[in-house]
Amino acid sequence: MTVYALGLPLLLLSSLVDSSLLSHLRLWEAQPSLTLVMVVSWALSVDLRHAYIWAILGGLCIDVLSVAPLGASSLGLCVAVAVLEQIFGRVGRRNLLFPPIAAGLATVLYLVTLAPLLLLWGWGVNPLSALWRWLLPSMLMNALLILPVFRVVAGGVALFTRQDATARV
Amino acid sequence: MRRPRTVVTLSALGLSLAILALSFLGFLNSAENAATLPLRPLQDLLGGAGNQAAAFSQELAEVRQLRQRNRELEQALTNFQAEIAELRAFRSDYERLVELSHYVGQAGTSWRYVSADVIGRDLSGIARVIHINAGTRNGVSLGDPVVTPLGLVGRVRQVSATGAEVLLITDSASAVTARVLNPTNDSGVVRGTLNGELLLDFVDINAQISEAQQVYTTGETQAFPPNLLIGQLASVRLSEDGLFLQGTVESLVDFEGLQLVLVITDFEPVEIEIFQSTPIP
Repeated sequence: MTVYALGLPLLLLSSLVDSSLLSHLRLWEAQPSLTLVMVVSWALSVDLRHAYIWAILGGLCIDVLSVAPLGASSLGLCVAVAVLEQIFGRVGRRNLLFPPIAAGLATVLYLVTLAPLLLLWGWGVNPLSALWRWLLPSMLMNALLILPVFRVVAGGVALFTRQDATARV
Repeated sequence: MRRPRTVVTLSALGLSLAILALSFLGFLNSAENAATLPLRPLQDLLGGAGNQAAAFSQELAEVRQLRQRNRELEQALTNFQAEIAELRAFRSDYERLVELSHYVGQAGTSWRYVSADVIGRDLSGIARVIHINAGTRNGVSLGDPVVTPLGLVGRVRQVSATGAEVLLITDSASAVTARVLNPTNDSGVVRGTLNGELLLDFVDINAQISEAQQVYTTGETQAFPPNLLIGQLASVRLSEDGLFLQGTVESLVDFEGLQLVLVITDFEPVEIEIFQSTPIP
């Protein structure tokens, strides 16, 4: 339960960090997304139901601070979580290979879902430009960012899960 | 196990789509605005920190660029200073060469000159000799007169392929037949003295020589061409034996500070010794 109490503030904070601090680390049109990386890390560490809760909450946090319609990022992150769960399941926190791959894949799924919704919402997206200037740099940056974030999130999940179990006993 | 997963997934996707649809229809605008309201101050706070961090990193990058630029400019300055020093040396050489070329032009003679740097001098203090960096390869030969725009310097007494030794007219072993530029063209012999002065000697006692008159070579002994400026009279006196007039000649040439000289290479001095050694039949 502690995890959920911390979840929403953490996701809100990460979306604030995305919109303020990380927006200075732009590579072409792309920037790293701490919220997406946290949701992916969470999805690799807990069961599916909890992963979707974080995906929906994280997506709402992103959308509140972005031009995307409310729910668009939630949908993108849910799609990403669904695919990741099918491919990777749960990943050990010492694993250094799967998290970057998962982050790269989640970035693709998230942006591929988001782009048509943005088009529908009236924002012009050039597919070729989006691929080179948005998708690929985002994949790279998120794949790098997940390495420390996954260790922290997976460690926190393990710690709080033990505490919850002890409290129940 | 499979069914609950699908149900959960479909539920999550459905919920997201429902939120999206409500947002698309405009039902969630006020909720979104309300949620944004408390986040804006935090966003400003973090944004300010982010801007400061970005500005700081930009300043750091600029400092690095400025340091690099400073190093480049210092290097360029050093190069320019070296270049200026080199150009000054060139200008100095150029001015001296211009002087020499003017001298050659003013002389109006057909002598062929070779310019040479003074590369050394006799340090014994006994002989007044300079070494120059022109030799037989440059057309210099034994006995060639050496001059500067300011007057006669001496003559070549030893020559090698790449250098030569010049006996200055101030040496006590040097003697030049000379004439004084006055109405009577009085003549004598200019010779060096032990203290490095030039002495005009053996001038007729009735000659009308006086201070400030210029002294030129006569060319009579064929050791030097005629009409080369030696100097001007600084003082006139009677010789010790009372038979001749003597005068101290001041040359305009700074014999101690000579740097560049001209060697007259096409003057052929006459070897008069041959006449002295030929037996009279």
